[in-house]
Amino acid sequence: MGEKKQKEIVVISGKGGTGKTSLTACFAALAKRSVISDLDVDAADLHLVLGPKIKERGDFSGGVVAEIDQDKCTQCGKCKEACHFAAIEIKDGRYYIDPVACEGCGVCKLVCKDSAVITKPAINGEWYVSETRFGPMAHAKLGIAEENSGRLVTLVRQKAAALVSEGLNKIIADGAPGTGCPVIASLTGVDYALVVTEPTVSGIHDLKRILDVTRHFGVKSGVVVNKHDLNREITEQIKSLTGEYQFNFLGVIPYDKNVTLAQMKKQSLIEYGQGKALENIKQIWAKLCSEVFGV
Amino acid sequence: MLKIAISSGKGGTGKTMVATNIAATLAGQGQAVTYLDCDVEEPNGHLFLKPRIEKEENITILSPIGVSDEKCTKCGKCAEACTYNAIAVARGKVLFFPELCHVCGACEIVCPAGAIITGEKKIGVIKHGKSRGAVDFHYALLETAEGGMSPRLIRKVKEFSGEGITIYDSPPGTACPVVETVKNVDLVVLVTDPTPFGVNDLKLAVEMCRKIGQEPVVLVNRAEYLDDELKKYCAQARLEIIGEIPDDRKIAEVYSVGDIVIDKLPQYARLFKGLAERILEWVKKNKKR
Repeated sequence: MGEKKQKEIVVISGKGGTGKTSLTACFAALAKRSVISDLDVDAADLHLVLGPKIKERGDFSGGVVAEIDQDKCTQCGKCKEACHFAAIEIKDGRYYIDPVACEGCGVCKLVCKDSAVITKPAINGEWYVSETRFGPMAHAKLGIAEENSGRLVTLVRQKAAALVSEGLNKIIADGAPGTGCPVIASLTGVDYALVVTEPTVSGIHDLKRILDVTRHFGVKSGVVVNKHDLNREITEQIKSLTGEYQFNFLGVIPYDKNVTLAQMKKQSLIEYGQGKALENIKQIWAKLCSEVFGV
Repeated sequence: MLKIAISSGKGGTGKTMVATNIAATLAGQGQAVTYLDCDVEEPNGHLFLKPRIEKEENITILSPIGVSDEKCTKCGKCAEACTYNAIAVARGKVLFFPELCHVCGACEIVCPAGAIITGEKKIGVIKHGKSRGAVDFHYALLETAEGGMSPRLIRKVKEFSGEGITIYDSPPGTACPVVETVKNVDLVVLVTDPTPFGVNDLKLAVEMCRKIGQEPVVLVNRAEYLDDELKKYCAQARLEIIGEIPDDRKIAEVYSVGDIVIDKLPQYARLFKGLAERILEWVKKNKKR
């Protein structure tokens, strides 16, 4: 493996619904051509704007599905004892595995003395490599009520990295809300985390928690406040909080209904071409470029 | 015992705003209400219901915390057994990545040398308190970088379900933390906005609910319809829209500072009272089925 050529930016938020995906789509448009990835694998939306044409797809298996062979099972209870996910149920004296609670770790099979646990690779989702008007895109769909979204995120990141080539070395990724597994999987080793928040008590509370996570993993981060005109006082508090973390405050975006109107036309706001948020987003992109790409 | 989960596919649709206002409405009517914030990654309900915290407890679980260099024979069985890529053996060294570990126990079971070191690891804290005199409030904060432990911590929070009406404020999405929250409740209310992203994520959330045997109802927030996609989808999927909250900047402003809408904007008290009634009707209907 040679030196890492690409620069990877991930857009995350802590709190959901702050405008990650709309902003990511704008960045993709402003970058003109880059590698795009959607790491919000359990509620992906970026494809709704970018309309990717799928070129390649594959199944994602993040574990196993386990089932108990009732003919072999002697009801010893070892599996139930060993399962950390409370996935083994007893009904009428027989043992069953609840497929939804099961996280596919395979421990039940390891402890079963009667070889009564049958496992096969689970299909937990599907990954795609596609083409969009702003460059190639790696994305995925987590299966319904499936687990191991963190590993699917890692897989999508690998697919995105493979799309990097000479002259196409920016990866722009749309992340997931929260501070859980998929978020952590989207953060490790990236060059920059752009955190989009909103000026509400929830926004600032969740921002602090996600900045703790980016700091924990040593990821350079920048903060953007969306809908800053909703509460200017909290916007100021967010600015100082960002400073306390020694991260960069990259700017604010005003509330703008055109963001929804653009979404309905399956366009980024940049293509839609109107609205008061437009100028701010361009400035934020310029700052981000100088921070991450040094241009 | 009535158990109501307020969830959504997309984040930021107003779950917490709805859950806190429904809790405040029911508490105002003298009902026994328990509020469980199951969004352990980013809990927000306490910022609005402002419970007086009476007790805090650290939640720890027995977990692998490292590998003994002395005992380890670098056989690689642990890495092979680990579904989560949390342990690797490379160039005669064993590497453990605690943030990827889901604490399933596989490494310990397969290690022939007994080299896996276990210890109590803190996955978060649960806080217990009372709000508005009548709401039993419980919420948890997941420890930084313990992402994989969300469902486990949610399960702990759910142990505090009450005898009266329990409201579960859910995380967004369709993955395991959400499944853990909404399973075994009496009703899932999916809050959505009518935007294309909202509708897309609502579909995913409905599929998830139905897969685990839940029949959800829909509540539309910021209900300004620029097209009829949401209504078309709900009709076609036979989903009941149990109510609408208008797209009113005043609600967003009240929310932004951490206030309860029915306290500051009394014109909405009737709307939430109606919503609470309809939710309870649906819970009872579901329980009969």
